Amino acid sequence: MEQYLAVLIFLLVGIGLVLFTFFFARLIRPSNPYKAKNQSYECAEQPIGNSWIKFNNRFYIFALIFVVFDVEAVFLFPWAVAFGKLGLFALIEMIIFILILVFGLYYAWRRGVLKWV
Amino acid sequence: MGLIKKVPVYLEKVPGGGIVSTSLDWVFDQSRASSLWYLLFGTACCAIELMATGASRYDFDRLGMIFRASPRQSDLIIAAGTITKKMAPRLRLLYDQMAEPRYVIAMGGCTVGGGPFYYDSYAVEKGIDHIVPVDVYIPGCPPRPESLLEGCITLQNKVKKEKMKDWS
Amino acid sequence: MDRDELTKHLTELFPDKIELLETGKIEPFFLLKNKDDLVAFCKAINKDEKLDIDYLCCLGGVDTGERFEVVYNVASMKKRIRFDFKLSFKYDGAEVDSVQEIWPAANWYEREMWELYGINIRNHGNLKRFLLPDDWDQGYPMLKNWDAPDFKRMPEVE
Repeated sequence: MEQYLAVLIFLLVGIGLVLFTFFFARLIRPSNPYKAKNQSYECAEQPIGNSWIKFNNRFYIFALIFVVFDVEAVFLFPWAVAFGKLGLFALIEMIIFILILVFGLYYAWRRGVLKWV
Repeated sequence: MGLIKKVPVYLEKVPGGGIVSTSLDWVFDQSRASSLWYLLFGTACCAIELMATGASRYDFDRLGMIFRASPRQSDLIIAAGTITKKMAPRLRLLYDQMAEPRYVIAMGGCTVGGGPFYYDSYAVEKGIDHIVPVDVYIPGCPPRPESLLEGCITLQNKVKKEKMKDWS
Repeated sequence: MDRDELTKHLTELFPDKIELLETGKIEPFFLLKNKDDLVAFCKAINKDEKLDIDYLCCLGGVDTGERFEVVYNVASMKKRIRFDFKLSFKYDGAEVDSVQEIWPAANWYEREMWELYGINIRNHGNLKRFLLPDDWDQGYPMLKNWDAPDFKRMPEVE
């Protein structure tokens, strides 16, 4: 139970440090906004149109594939640490797990989503 | 908000606080003067001299000055080149979109007072101090790179004399 | 073809409409006497086989103080001919036809002429301001009698 308390304190101090830095800086620094300064920058012309544009969905697909393989890595780490004490059964099972995910990678590769352009 | 502007006021009241205040002034001024990043703003022939000064023989980087493409990231505009009446509101908008502390160098005859276009020109703004507040004027048509470096060093000396209580 | 051949050819094509001006320049400089002949003249020199004028180098207005003039510099890329010609007309009713169907480069030159001199261009289709600032309200700057509060002329030197 004490270990979880340590994690909670870590979390709160981490968040608090960031928030404290932001608010302290906001308190200290001089601030002088006016209308021309806050306008969005368009090479000194008056801005035309909206600055929210549609972004390409290749960003989403890359993020998705990254999450899948990151979770796979999370599963691999405890297995690698406890590898010495586990038997042949754990090795075979992990190889099957990795093969399923390699098949997913092969599918994504052949679909062409790994090319950026 | 903006409490740092009150710091020198309170420091003066404390005995011995004046030393802290001037030391803080020195630190801020040295840091600002040694890294004046300038906006790439070149309209005409003086821009070529600006590029030559930024190149290898007369280097700007040894004074800490790097060019930036956006006014949001720069604290100096070197207005190099003729500013016409059509360009004037755009220069003003660029100056407005810079964050304080911001400085302006008027480089070349056209920005100082019209230059060769002072007579017989209907379209040239005769001097950019009608548009933006100028800190250093560098005459010349175009000024040699040594002149431009001298102007930048003059600006650095001006920055080093600032005090915290004059901050805007 | 050199200067004399060119003069002869043009006076044969357009009897009585064109006049050679002695200005001392290398390229011959003609005066088109009637500005209504402009489009016909330009079409003819564009289609003629010996002249084949396909390049309008420049087009500009002149304010001499009493009359307007419009000067055209034309050239032929294939036949290596260059010459200039001008129109001259009074201030009242200053209107010129557009030659942009013959040489598309005339589009912007005529727009500039309209914007700076006030010479109206018929059949242009796009007379919009593009050189002067958007809120310009001080007239036509290139006229000899134009003035503005911050406009200074070069003083005479004795």
